[in-house]
Amino acid sequence: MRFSIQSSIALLTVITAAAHLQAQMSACRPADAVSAEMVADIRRIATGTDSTTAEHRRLMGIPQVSANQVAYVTDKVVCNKAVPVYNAATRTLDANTGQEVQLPSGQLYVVKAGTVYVVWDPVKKAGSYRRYVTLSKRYKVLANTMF
Amino acid sequence: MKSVTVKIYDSDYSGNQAVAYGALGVPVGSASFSFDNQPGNDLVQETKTVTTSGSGIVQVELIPAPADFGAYDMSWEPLPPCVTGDPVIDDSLNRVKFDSSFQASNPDAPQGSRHETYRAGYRQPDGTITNIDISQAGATDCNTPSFDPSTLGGPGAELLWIEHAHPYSAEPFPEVITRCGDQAYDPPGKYEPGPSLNDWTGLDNLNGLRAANGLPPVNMYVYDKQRVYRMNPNPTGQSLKKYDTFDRSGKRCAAFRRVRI
Repeated sequence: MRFSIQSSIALLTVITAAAHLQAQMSACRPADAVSAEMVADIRRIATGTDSTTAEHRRLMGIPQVSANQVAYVTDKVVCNKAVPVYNAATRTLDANTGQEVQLPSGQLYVVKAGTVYVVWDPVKKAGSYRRYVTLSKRYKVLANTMF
Repeated sequence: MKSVTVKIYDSDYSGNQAVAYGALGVPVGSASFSFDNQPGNDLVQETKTVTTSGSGIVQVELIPAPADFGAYDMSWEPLPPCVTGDPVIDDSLNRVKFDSSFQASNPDAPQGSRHETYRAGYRQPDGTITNIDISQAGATDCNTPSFDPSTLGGPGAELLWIEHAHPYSAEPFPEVITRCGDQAYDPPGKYEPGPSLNDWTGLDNLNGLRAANGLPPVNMYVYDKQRVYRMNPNPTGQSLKKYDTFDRSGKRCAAFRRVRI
């Protein structure tokens, strides 16, 4: 009986710790050189006044905003909500077997541009193209591009 | 054609005119001819020119006045050659090679069976410029294994530019990519017209090495079905991700022209 109580306490501790850890885990990738480049790219597109950047904005669903409205996102609430939507929008299959490949890493680069999020999991590529997905503030897919 | 000149003989009645149409079938100019209301004397012979500043005249309709019997002579002035100002693109031999290389990428084949093709321009030791196919084995619709084009022009050759195909459509809407090589995308994504981020990385790395060795940076040209994108490195090789876009559709112009998207 005594052993049983100790086991129960230990199990409860493990479960609580796991739940706590899960709650604390963030799907945001920490800022690094890749995120800096991504922010610079999205900022160039969001703020550009030439026809090329205007076309990119239209195709990627990015609004024209000022530079200070483009920022890297580290808010885990945003990233955690973006993960399932992004993963569903970027499934990659082996064309011969139908088996899913490029399994998601679960961690995203997220850049906010005005009211939208541009999201990328570096696992997700189409050859030399990155698979960027633009999400609305309600996490709806606005654009799915090979960039 | 840039302009059309029409001469009418024996214009007798009101209504004789020439209407010029552009490629979209829309009138781009017209001319009406004088008349004397006296049939058969051939007194009114008049020459008029219709000129367009747009993409050119592709058709001219000669409309006679009711019950009139005139005759016409016509001459025309061609559009100036489609010059972009880029010496690589404007070179006629390069244009042919650009196009044949692009066609070799199988841009009209089903996705999964296309492949990127590469060429590059080199200055040979004797000063001649050569445009060489440097396509790589293992290339797919959307990727080419990394390689160094610097040394592929032959002994002593100097790399001048690089070009490669994106075997996709940019217009009227960017092509939806469902498959590349052995990978299928569910749901598919859209081709983002222009150089890929990987293209920039490759060019920046190459130009960084060139700068370190005291060599000038090189441009890379990317082709899709309708456009050419000239990636412009700055003199230090640092990436600005600036590029110019040219139309290669040949809809109105046999070769290339500078466009605003």
